[in-house]
Amino acid sequence: MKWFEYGDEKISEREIMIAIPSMVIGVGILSLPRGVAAATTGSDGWITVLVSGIVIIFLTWMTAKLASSFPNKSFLSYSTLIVTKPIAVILTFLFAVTSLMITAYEVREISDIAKQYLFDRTPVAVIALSFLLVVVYAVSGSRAGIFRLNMMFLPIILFITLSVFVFNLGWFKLSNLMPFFQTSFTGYAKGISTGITSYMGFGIILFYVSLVEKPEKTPKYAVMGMCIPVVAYILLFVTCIGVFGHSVASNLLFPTIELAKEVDIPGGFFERFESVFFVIWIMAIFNTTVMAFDVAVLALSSIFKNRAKMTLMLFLTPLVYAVAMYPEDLTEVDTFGKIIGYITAFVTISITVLLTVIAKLRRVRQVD
Amino acid sequence: MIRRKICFLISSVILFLLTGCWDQVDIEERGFVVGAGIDLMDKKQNGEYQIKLTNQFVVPSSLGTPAQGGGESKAFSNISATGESMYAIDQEMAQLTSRSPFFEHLKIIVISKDVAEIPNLFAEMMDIFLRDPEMRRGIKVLISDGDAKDILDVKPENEKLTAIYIESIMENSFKIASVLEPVRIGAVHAHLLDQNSYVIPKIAAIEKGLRYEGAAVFHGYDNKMIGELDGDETKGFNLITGNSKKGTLKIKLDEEIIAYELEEVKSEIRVDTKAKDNITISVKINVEGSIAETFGTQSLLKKKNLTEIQKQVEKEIEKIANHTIKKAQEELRADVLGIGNILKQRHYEFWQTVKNEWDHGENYFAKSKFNVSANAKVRATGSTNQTKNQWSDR
Amino acid sequence: MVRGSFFKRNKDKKDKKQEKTNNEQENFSIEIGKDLEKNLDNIRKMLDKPNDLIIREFTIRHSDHKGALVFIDGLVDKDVINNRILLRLQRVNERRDLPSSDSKLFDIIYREIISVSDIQRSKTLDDVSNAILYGGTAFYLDGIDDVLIMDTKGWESRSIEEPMTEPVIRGPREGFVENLRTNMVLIRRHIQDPNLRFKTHQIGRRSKRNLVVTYIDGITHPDLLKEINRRLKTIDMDDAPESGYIEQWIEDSFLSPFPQFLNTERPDRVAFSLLEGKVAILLDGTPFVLIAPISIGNALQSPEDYYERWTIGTLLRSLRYLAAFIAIFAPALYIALVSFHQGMIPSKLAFSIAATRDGVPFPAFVEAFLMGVTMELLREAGARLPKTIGQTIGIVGGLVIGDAAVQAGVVSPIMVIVVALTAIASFSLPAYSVAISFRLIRFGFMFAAAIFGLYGIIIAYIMVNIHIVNLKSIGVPYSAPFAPSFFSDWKDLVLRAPIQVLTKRPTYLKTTDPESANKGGQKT
Repeated sequence: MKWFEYGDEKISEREIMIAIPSMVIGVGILSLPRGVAAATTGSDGWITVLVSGIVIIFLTWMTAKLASSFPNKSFLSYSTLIVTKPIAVILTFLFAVTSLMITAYEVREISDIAKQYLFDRTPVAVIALSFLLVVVYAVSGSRAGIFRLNMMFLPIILFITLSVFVFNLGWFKLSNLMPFFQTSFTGYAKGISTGITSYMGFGIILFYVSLVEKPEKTPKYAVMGMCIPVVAYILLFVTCIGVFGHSVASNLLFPTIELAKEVDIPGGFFERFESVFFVIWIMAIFNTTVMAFDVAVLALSSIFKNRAKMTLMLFLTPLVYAVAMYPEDLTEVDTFGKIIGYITAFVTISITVLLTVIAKLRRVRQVD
Repeated sequence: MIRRKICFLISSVILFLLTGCWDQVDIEERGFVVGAGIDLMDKKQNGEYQIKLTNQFVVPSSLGTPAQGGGESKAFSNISATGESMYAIDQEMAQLTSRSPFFEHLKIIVISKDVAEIPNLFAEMMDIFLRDPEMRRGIKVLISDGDAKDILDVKPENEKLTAIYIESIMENSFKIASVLEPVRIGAVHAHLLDQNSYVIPKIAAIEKGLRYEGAAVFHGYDNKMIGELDGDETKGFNLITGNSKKGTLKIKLDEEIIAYELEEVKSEIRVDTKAKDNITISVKINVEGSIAETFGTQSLLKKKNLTEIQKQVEKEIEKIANHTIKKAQEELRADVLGIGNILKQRHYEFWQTVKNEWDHGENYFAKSKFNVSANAKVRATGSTNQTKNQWSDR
Repeated sequence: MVRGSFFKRNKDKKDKKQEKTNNEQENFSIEIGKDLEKNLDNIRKMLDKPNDLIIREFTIRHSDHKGALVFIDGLVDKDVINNRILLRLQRVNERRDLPSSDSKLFDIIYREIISVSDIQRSKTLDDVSNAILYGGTAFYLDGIDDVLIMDTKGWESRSIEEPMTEPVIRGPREGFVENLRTNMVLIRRHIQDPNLRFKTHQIGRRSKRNLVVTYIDGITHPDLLKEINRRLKTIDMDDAPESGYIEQWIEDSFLSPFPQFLNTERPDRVAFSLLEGKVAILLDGTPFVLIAPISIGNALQSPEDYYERWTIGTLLRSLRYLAAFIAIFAPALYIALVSFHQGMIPSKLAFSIAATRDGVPFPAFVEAFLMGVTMELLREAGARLPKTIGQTIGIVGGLVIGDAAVQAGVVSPIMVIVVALTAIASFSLPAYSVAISFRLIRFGFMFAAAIFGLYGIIIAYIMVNIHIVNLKSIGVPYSAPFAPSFFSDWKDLVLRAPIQVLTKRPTYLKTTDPESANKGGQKT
């Protein structure tokens, strides 16, 4: 007996548009202003955030174009068409590993920040475990459910971003933004590389486009989706510099959270806005983690065809937890994050470019 | 589907088994600290300083609820502990109090002059308040003339907590031009990082309560307090930086005293950067205001009188401002006016050449020339022209 | 899929059981025979001679044809039986002669003599027993193996009143009653559309109860109907005394705290839902009608939103969203703020809470839990007590909670405010079933807050969201139209846009006729 599936079809392009910002906005932005401000002078950082954003938007378009030229085919099957099967398996596996590492990193980072801003004595291991279990619960549900979660949470996340901006207008000093355009070339280069790693996550398109029913318009929607984090990042970065000044912004561990700390809610209904901000931000990080984990599961289950999703997850979850708990202190977590950022950037960008170029050269097309 | 439910059940069971409620501390068990004072005890042989930290704890039960009205007893208790480092003091503090100190409601930090005058010590004291995520960046910093503990010991008449009392004094004194705007610890952090010279409001305990006036001047490079601005000098500082929005000036018109109330102060500082040794700084102060009080019988509706008043106000402003500049350049030799910041923001390349010896060593700041010009307007004369008449005019 | 096989297993069991019961009751024959006495004996045996079973034997006048009327006292309208059936049969040949052949006579009786509108011929005892147990009357004629079954329902029933559970200030005052026919009439009176359909099912293994599925042909998606009918056919239980049984049997997830059907006593609400493209299920014997499929947005709607002007409607809606937020989160937030994040409370308030909590022996969670349970007890007691003394509960509860507990130092006054606010908020939700489920979730949030503070609350919130996005009501995503998002539906969600703008039926229902109004109105 088939259970009735009314109204639960494949995902739409609009859901891809929502999924991209949900994936990209995560822990990265919490510390991004520090990294960018440290590399640049005054408020010049916004240029690097914008330039790296444009680069990423282009890459997103390229990725989406590649994936959507093979409608309803999984990454493994279309990369098999382009390069050979063994290489396709290796690429898929590579993606799965990076996604798992992102999952582990996000879990660890959120626990560390939660411990810093919300808890005092609760062990990091417990916070991480509780978070990971909820992630597992979400991934074990339907894939359409994950996209719906994005849709439920993203407006709240954008709203809280906007309110941090609005409530900080009172502290905003235009003079803090000056001087303009005084950064050296190497400063810009360094800022852009920091910016690019913070935008990572668009690689999910390679996998999720196969779920889209009619993917012709996906590149357009993916680009629109990517614009959301770029705008949000620039807004937050400029607010950070305008409120704190350059020197403080480049010295705070999590400038974006500290930004929320500055907020005084008019009317004094409650204080310490940063707790609320961070708690809401958990949803953003949750979305990122869930999708990273889901992509890993999706990639692995395309390789190991006869394994059930639950078996895979039962095996992967302890692995992710172990990796997340491996770094011992904050500096190690930070290094871990940087390494993952670079690896992900390298893997995603090189695979996309490689596949696009080879597909063009060999003139591989969708065969119906 | 069933499997998913089982998975969910298992995870929630594990979640609940994990419970330890590690961080659960009920509100009545917290020792709310609303004010902190830092004093210097003595200097040790090995160069370390003995610091005394005084925390003002709230005693909620004697604060009372609005319905019960609270008792006669003191609503706060000041507990002091001494040690070499803030961390050691914290340990000692924990032994002295039944409730663990909780700093999230900290409003003010009072630091005694003695501590501020020792190089780098002030910055070290600020460190824990900036580093601990419990602390807010909106905590206000004050320098006390005498012991900081004496300030916190003052029992105010209309408020129950000294710290709250001081905070409201600071927030409500915007009408007085001789008082600095409250300085938030976040701003201090920025100054420390940029090695700017800066000012922090001062407070002193007097016989009946507290006196909040003037400012302590910190030198950015030496990282210590180097002097003070008195009431008039603070007024000048506020006029030059355009910080003060309100306040009164006393001027004389034909030997009769008139109080001029500032309503809008705008200052414009331009730096002319021809050469390192020949920096000209022009300060334009535009004020608008009204006549608050007259002691004479001059009719204020006469055009001639108004222009005269405006002229007098401009003169007065220039006098006050020049006095402050003179003090900053000659006595303090510290750029408290934030000229360095303006250079950095507007003349970034020039700033790179002078920044290393801006207000120390070569001290380009002290050598630069200031031109102060003021422009005053009288907007309103109050609701009456004259309150008393002179017979001779009739 | 797993669920499907679950049903299958049940079915196998049931088949065996059925055989067994049939074996036990073999002492009467199921077929109707030609011998009147034997037939009457059969029916007596089957029902075990109850004293409200009335068998009226008589002879048709001026003939030797024997006949009998069988019915149950109290279920029938005796006027109908006396005047329309018995009288006519007894006086039958005052007009003309009767044929002597049994079958011809039976035919004439069926066609000409008995003047009851709803009359059927039947051959099985099962039909007879079902009919007479539902207010029908059976007519046997000696020598015929057929029986006439006439509808003579006429029992006492409640008159149409204003619904108790869903009063409105503006709107129709009529509510459903226990009688299925009356309820159908109420719906018909609201929707005079020839495409309004009523499909009858018989529910119950022992008690045969009528269940009617209502929809509007041409609006409702046919797959949806197919699915509902399929699920209704799987129902296999002795009896369904209330629509709650039906709801629980055919709902998508029995573990979910959220109701996947809406129940209502209001015909106008049913009519509105039918026009949206939903399906209503009416069950005989209960005034509560089920509406499906629903989504989370429907839970906070009231028919009154549409009766008031749109500004007011929007205000009421947003007020309700606020109420839902308070009803779910208020105690949990209290716990999180008071025992974890005291820094978030404004300083002066924090000090005064600390002052009032001084001397309260319990941690905030225990305090909140105690008060929460007391509140639920009060509510339950208030609902069970006869109306005349129901007010006592209010007084006692108000005194105990409001004053004595605070005086005794068991709870803090702030806690009383929080609990009272929560209670008021949950009373202001329009659907009782939703309010109940929110109460349930509230305790979950309180636990989460007691363990992890704000972090626990957000984790619990995320978990509830995961559950909602995976939940379905008759296969329709429960989280629609939030996600999957149908922006055109958003103008009737938190907002209630002006009537002229609400031209589309909900997209997530995939109606076959998506337009419900013309924006420009009619041309004149």
